[in-house]
Amino acid sequence: MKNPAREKFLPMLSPYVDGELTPEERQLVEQHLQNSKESAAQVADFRAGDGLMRNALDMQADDVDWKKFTEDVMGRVTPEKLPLLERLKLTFSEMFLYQRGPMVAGLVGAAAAVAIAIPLTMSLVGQAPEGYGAGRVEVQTVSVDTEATVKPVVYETESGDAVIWVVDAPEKKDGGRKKGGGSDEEDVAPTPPTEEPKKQDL
Amino acid sequence: MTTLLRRQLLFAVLVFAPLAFADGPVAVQADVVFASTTAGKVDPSLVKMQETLGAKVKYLTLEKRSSQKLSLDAKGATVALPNGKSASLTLEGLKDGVATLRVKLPPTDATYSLAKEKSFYLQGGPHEGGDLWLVLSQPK
Repeated sequence: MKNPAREKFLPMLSPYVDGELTPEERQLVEQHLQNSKESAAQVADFRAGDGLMRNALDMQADDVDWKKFTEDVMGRVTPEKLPLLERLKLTFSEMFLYQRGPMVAGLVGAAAAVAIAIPLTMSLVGQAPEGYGAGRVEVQTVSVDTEATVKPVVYETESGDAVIWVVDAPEKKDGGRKKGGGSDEEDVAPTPPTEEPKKQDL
Repeated sequence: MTTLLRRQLLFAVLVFAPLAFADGPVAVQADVVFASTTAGKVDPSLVKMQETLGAKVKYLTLEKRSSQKLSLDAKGATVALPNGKSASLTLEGLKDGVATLRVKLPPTDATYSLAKEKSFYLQGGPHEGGDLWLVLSQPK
């Protein structure tokens, strides 16, 4: 014997189990299931079948190597890397668009630093190190301890070096003296570059 | 003027101003050399010294006993010699790019001005049958 209500709801049972019905349809089907044991049993069969199917698919999915699939998908999702020039253009355009103030300030600061650094570097290149600005070593003063029995002999070479020998001076009694001054002038072989040092100093 | 720009200018001034205007310490190469008229080896770096002193004494042995780079200022520095003496070096002044050093190596007390790529030789007394020399020059 045919049940007209069951025939009406029969096509809706499978969509009901799959969750494809509207809330109103779902409510009507649930009312029908309370009154129709056959339909309720069929719904239970559908759910059991779904469970079996899901388990079987899960087991199959476990056997599959999804690595390549993931790589394929990610390879399609990841955008292609832009050429370097394009990336730089993009970076600068974004910086000037969103950070114009700090960028301009930074460029001005860098330009100021370069403006200071370049002349400074140029002036330092080829220049003598600090303190070595003279072309020749010049002995300005030289003396020995008052009780010493030696005397200094200064020799400034043609090439610009300077030598101070300390030689015996048994007759020495007046201690030190300044270069170029006093009566000990002969002890200093001063500056004329071509002048040979005096042998009696030694 | 933005804060960032001000900071950058301040940084540039702090970095470069001392280089441009400060009378900083003067670097000096201080070598102690043993010299003897007996036959021996001459350190290749001391051939110029041999020629320079050769006008007075023909040294046939020249050995570097110590070598140090000093940074001299008014506080000075000392260099010990193997004969027990000690040389005291101080920066007396720095004018127009020319530094004046005072060197006290008993019994001698001398002041001299530095020159580019030139050397100052000061006899430091006898030692082991030869002489010790204090050689002051521009560091390389």
